[in-house]
Amino acid sequence: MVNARWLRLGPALLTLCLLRQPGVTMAADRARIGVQETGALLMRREFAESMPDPVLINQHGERLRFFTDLVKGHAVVINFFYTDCQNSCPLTNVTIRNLRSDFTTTVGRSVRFLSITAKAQTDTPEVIAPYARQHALDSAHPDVPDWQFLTGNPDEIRALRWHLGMREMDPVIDNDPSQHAATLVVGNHATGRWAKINPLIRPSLVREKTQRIIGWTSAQRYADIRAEVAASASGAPLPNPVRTAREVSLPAEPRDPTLPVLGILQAPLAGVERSGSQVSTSPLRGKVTVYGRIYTLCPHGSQAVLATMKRLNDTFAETGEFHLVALSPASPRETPEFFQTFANIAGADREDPWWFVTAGRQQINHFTQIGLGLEPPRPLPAEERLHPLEEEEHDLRLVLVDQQGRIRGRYEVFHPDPFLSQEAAWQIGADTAELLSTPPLTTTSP
Amino acid sequence: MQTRRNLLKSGAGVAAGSVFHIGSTAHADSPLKVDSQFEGSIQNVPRWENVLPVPSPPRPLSVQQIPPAYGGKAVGNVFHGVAPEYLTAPADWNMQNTQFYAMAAKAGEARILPPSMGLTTPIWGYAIARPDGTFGPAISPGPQFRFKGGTPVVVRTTNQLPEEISTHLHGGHWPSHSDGHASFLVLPGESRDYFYPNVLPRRKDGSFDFTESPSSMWYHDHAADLTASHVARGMAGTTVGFDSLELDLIKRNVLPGIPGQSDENTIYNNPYDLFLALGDKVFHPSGAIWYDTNNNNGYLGNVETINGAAYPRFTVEARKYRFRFLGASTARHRRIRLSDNSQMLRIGNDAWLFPKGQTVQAFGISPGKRVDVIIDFSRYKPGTQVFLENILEQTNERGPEGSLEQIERPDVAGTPAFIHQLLRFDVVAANPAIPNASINAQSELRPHEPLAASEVEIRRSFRFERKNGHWAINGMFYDERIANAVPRLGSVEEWTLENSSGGWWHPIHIHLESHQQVVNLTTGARPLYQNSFKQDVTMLGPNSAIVIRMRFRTFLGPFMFHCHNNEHEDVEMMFQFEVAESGSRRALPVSRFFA
Repeated sequence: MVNARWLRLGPALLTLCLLRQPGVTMAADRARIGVQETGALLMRREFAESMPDPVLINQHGERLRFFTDLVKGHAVVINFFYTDCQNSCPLTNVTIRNLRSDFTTTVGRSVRFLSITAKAQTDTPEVIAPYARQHALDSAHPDVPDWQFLTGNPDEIRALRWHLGMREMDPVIDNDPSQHAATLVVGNHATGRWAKINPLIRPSLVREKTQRIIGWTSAQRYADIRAEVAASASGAPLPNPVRTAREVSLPAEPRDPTLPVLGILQAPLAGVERSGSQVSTSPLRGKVTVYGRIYTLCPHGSQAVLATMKRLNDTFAETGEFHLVALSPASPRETPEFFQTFANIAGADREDPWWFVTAGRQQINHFTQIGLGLEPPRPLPAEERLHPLEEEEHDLRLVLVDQQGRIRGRYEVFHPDPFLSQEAAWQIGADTAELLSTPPLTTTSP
Repeated sequence: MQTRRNLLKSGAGVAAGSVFHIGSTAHADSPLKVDSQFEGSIQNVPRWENVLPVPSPPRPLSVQQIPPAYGGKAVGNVFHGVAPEYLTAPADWNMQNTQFYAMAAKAGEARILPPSMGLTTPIWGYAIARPDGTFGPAISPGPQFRFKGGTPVVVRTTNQLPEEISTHLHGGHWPSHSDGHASFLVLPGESRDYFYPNVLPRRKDGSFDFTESPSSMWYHDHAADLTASHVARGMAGTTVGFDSLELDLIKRNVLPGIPGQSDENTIYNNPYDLFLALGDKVFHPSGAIWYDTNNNNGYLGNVETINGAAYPRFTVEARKYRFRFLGASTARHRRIRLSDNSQMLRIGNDAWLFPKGQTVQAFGISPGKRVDVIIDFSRYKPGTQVFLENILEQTNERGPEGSLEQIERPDVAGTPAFIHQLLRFDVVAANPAIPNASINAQSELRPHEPLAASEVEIRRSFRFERKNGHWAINGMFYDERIANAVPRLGSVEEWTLENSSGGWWHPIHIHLESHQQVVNLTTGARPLYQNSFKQDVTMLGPNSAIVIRMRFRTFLGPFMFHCHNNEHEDVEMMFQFEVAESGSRRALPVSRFFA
């Protein structure tokens, strides 16, 4: 129930961001900022204009000063990436991509996205250029916010990172670029307002928080909430928004104390793991397990599935009570060796509780349809094929199975609407955490 | 620099000739260091030039009837409305006695630094409304409200700042709408009617639970992402709560006060009872507060302030005083003592008085905490100067030196390695017309009713940790749509608050009601005396796990719980719980949202 609820809000929000009329309200907000006493501005850190101003080189080879050319007077979203980053960067990039597409219709180019490499030694302008092309193809569009990929002097970049508050007291952790890859520094030099945002929180929150800092009128937030409530309650617009601002009661949901049980996994699957050894899913009883089908001919689909699995692995592998199983029918192409490479690219280590299992096509189909409750493959008409070998369309939802072998959720982490994909990826994480949450420590009473 | 130093010397020289110094002198203590990004900040602030600001409480604009200052707008007829509880209050909430106030959050100027420096400081503070509805100047700390138990209060709060705010009155028992929830904001230019019913939670038999009556409260901004910078700029104030039990203690001359005056009036006029709000700041050479909005680990100032004045002095009569210490810093922990190491009587933790006082030489105080203390100056000759000192070193954002157990110790062994003087008391003769208060460690104060293990309905555990440069709870971050815990209305729960984040300190604040510590799982120790009753902030030292019990009464949620290091709170070390008709062991979507 819960899952459906959050997913249902998605389209409503998406429609809303297209309907916004930002011009008027933004002007009003700006006026208010304009009349604030200079004293208030004095409290801003930028009063001393103390920001470092190193020369950085972008993906086009242009030399730009960080503060003078990129930050001064602007709203910015800054992150620290590196091109061979497997872990957080792809997810951070998805967040940035979503923000840029959301902002295209609203704030447009008044916000700048600055991705600065945390590995400037190896991420030279030549290395960054193809990476940037891959991620920011659409930067030429006049309304898409600019996305700069920047490199420069490693020491200066580290000083800059520290100045932006991304500094660990333990130098080993501080020097590990992956520690800084899951943070967006959102700031507005004009108002002096800055915050750090975790790109892995609920996508709608990332967007809302970012909007508030980059200069979107904060009153808009309430329009969002009112409209959301209206959309999810009755579909009709609210008669009197001021009245409802006092108490926005979200619609009554059946407050089920547990995740719904969608089915029970009956027979286990036996197959070959990428290591070449025979495995069976029956010993996974007692663990929280996430199953997903890999369709190697659908690169975007597999990428989304694997990226979510990777994130789940990174979050929950340490618990020892969690397992991931990627499934694929065996074929002359899809051999255990093939999946060894595949797993390496996905960032799955040998020690990770993450299997890549192949079995006969019929066994896999039986397990995914009868066992996991996924849709049967749909034959794809020739005109819909993106790849000549792509004869079927597969249900690529991830399936969450609890310790008792009960199916507790199916999550569409690959959806044409990236916003919904991200919501689903977030939700499976939250639900997994829920299933893994052990009964709290009991105490002896005094 | 040269002139300032000379000035300080000459000032101290004059004083030294005529008074008795108790403990170390103004020059002998340890300076506070400042982070490298504040290079060029003001370093040497002359001490004891400022006089301790003692706020005079605002009077209600009206009682019973809406005041003219509300401009004809009924309660609730503002953009953000009023709590639904205002309209559905039961008869025994005495709504006919409701007091009405109006306040604005706005920018202003303050004299925080001593007069000889000639600098004023821009602040964001609070201003009380005049009868005609216009607002006075913003002050910080804000106006000190005096709330009498059983007398409902409405404060219409208008936001005249360019950023959203949310005012949390910390230590009280308020409806969700009025509680200063991080996402229930007051937008720029808009108003919200904060309804403070000043009612006590009820016991199972329906009687009001007077053991929960709060004494020392404070309010501060709580807006999501902005709390730390707003608090650092001055958005905090204090509130005194009192009930017939406390007035009776004054009438019987147990607690300091003027019998026949402090216990009679409705505004609690008591010159022997005051808040000491401890803050720390960095100052730009212009006098402006220098705050680093990009540092989300914690802000440590090198200039200490009390009640919004740097290093003040305060003239006290040679008698007992009640001081309500408040940790108003966003990140600094302190351990407070008197310079002669003499005894104080600690009478409360956070908002609540103890059943009996505790004799201490020092006490620890983290951000968000209040410590209620009786100091008896009658032991000093008139003319004596005695200093209030912080003896806890904190050089970085992680937290103070030493362990939680060391900081909480009630005694001071040997000479502290770190001493930083905060306030000078100048003792004068007591007014003989007013007798000294009789309070001692045997005096009966507020009874306590412990929560038994048999009452616990649900146990939960929350781990406070650092994750990829962010602050997390159970690996998750604050989400305004998720009720991370759903306690049943009226139930008791047991929570384990665990800090596993290498070396960091987290003072954990839970809204709505007091909580009671049960055991420290790390040491196996039962709570120390001062922590064995009620509190609303539980300090977690590095690698500690403390079990608490708490009741969830009167009001449906959602309410916040979070780390009270405001910088950590802003980077998502914050959860919410929604008190509901039926409880749930798992997180659920929030069902009420008071935009």
